[in-house]
Amino acid sequence: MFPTPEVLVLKRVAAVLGCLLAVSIATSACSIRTTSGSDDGSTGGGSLPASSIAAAKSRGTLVVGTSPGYLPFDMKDTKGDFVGYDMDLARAMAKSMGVKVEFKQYDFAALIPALKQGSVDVAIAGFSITGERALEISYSEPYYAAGQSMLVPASDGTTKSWQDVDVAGKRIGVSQGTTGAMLAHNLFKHATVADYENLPATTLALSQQKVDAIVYDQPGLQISAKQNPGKVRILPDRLSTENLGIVLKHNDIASVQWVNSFLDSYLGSGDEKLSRDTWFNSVAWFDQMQQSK
Amino acid sequence: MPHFEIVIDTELIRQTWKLFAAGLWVTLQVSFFALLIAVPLGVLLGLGRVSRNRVVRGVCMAYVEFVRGIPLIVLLLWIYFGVGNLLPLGGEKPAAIYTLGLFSAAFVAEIVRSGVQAVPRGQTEAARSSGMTYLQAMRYVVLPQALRTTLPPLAGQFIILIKDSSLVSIISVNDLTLVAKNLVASTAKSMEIYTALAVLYFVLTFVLARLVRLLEKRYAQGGHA
Repeated sequence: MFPTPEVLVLKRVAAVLGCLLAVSIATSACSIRTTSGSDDGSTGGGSLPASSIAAAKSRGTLVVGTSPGYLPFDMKDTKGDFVGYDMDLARAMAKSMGVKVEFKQYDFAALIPALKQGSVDVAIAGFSITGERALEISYSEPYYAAGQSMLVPASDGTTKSWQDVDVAGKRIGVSQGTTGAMLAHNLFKHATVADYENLPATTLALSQQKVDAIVYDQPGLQISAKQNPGKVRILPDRLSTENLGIVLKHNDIASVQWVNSFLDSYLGSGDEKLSRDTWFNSVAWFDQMQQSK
Repeated sequence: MPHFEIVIDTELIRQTWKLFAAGLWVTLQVSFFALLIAVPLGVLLGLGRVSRNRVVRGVCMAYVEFVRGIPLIVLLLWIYFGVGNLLPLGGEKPAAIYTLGLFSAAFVAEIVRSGVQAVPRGQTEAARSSGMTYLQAMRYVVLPQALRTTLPPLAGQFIILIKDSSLVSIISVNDLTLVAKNLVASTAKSMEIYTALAVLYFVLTFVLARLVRLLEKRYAQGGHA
């Protein structure tokens, strides 16, 4: 049998498309080459990117990318305003720059792409600092020390550690794109890890018994536990410790330095203590929040 | 003047291809089993829409209009978190298959209805006047002709189904799209991973479209009744 014209076309197209798998388009020379290992495309010409902070200052507006749904850091209240510990941080940042602040809402997984393409100046959304992400974007110094914890239904009185639920047939709920999700995928060898859209969807899955436990940042779980008194409990042992950082364009050194200096002055200040009290030590704001994202 | 450089990161491909393959397998599974629901249900609904019985016609029309008026993402959330809380659906993958199947059936129904209606009325009349019952006329005269015109759009519907299945990650089905979303979250290589994702979907649908065309030709050659 000779191959039909369709088959030949198919083969040719498949060959071309195969070569296109995992390409990165960078702004330097015009060539095709292969590489093994991480290739830093964005600084191919050797020049550093323009400072986002300087750009925001001359524009008069700081554009902050965030992802409401991460309690109590990034939320939207019933009036549609962006509120939470991170949002106070962003407003204080804009205030010290003498510019207005504009919030843009993204899915958590879409934030880094949005930052990389310049749609936002900074991303403040409870980002945990990881070495792998830091190859593509740059972090400020840590502004909050969080970590992963586990939430189980109160009816489950026997589970003492994550190992107790790492058995075949058990399901662990996580939120898509979070460090909790990555940790759970690595940690659990026998249980199934299910990636839900965000924390509200994951807690919904827990309340509907679609999962047996949740792995998520400890501050967020504490809020969930306060919102569902008597229904859930947090395991005392953390699964990990993580630092939260502000995300900036890769190698935007000028902006990283400015944000670090700002954090040195902001953390521990009266404004920051007030923000901490409001969001972490009180539950008065519960009723004014939008329940889902 | 910006120049573009195409870099093929073999290390990234080596690290991720297994995950991509697993996601692709889930996407194919979900789409295929959804099709197994969509085609029989869609054919019944489509025939119901041209039925002589007013009640059957009304019920089928209501189903089609109802489902076509709801975004797929809403239907997924409703069936998984809403209906799934009352009835045991057996987890997120079956829930996704049922939802996609029920959703797609409405579109299959419209394809079948237009296929049947495209057969000239004179055909039915001739069959009936030669002594066939209504069902016989449908079975031996109308449906064989309708099948020919409905096959290409039905295959197209399967390709649409594969693309629609990219939404099932909303209810935690670990399909191709969710694999890519998770990889972007862990590596932050959004350009590379999402390009690979787009290319994979394109290759999948393109290959299927070509296979469908081969099938169509075969049918056209051997199909003179």
